[in-house]
Amino acid sequence: MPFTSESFTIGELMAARISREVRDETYVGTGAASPVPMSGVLLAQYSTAPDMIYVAIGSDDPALSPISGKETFDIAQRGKLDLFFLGGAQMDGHGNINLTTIGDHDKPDVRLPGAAGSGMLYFMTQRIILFRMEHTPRVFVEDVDFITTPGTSDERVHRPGGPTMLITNLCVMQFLKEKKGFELESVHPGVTVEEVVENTGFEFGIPSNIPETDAPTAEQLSILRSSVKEKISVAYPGFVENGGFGE
Amino acid sequence: MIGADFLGLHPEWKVIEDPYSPGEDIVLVPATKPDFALIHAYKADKTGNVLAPSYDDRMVAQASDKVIVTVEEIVDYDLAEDPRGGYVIPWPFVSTVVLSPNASHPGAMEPAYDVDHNHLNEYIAAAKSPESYKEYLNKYIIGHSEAEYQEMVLAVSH
Repeated sequence: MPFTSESFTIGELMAARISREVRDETYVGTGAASPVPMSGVLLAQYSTAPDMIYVAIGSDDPALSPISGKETFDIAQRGKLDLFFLGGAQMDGHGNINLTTIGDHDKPDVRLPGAAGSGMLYFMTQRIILFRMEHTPRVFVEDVDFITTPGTSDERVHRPGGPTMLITNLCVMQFLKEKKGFELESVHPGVTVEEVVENTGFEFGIPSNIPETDAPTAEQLSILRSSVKEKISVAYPGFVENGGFGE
Repeated sequence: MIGADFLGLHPEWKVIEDPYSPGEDIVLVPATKPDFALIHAYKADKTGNVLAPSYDDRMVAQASDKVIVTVEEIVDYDLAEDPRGGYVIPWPFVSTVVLSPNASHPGAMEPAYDVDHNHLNEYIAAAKSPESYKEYLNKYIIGHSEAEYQEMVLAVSH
């Protein structure tokens, strides 16, 4: 993982930003292949949200997740899951996610693993943070090839939740439900607004004066590199071995 | 589900107004009624009770007309009395039990064995073209018995 400076990695920067979204005394979940969201949620658990209940779908480790994946889905269906994280092979400017097929659905170029419950979670989790470690035009497209689950729904659909934020290796965007689109919040250190525009296939709002994403504090880095790293190294050994955390 | 492209692929799914929430729509999906279920599980006993890794297996078994269960081992005690380490599928839901150790290969049967990553990588590489996929099938599947398959993959992975 590339270092943005000598002091922290992109993953640590994203984890610190994610941790700010975690509310204490709520259920917060992550799915498969989510080491950065997991790092952010655990960072919050060790700092600002000690009584948050963290549920990791797909983890067999009771120290990480006190309830099963099925029960996590049940909790989401009851509207009690406050925050969850979803990615997608493709995502578009309306928050639509594609986890199904690239190309023509009947004769796809790539058959992806599928929705795996994300459709329900996208509707019923109070807040969804979208994330990708690859911010490129092939991921962030004008229109997804297949809508596995839509970003917004009309008033005839029961949908208490949906996307609120997008975080990538380049930037943070807010999702504005009323505009059905994204607005740039911050760019990571060393990244320009132009780079984000060039690497995004859809239109998004750009307010004047885009700040830099807040760097993780020394205390956050210390927690990430000790308690969080210890748990991530069990759940995602590859992420740690490939330098997901700085030293 | 509403707003997803799956709806267009399934004419049998119906969108109706939710009778419990007037003004909102819901999707009706007909129940799946499989003719056969193929389930791999840890253990079976002499009665046909099965110890499976997930409660979902029991639901699949209950839903299906014929249920064929392959197992890692057959035990000589009553699994209904001692279901430790798994979830019991009771014998009325089971049609046939087949002793077939390592049958999840190259998938995992935790905690007995993990995914065979080397074999999966071979499969993924082979799946890239119809020609190499056919080679894979000829090497491991077509014309080979289960015992021959297991001999081949165990020789490589252990």
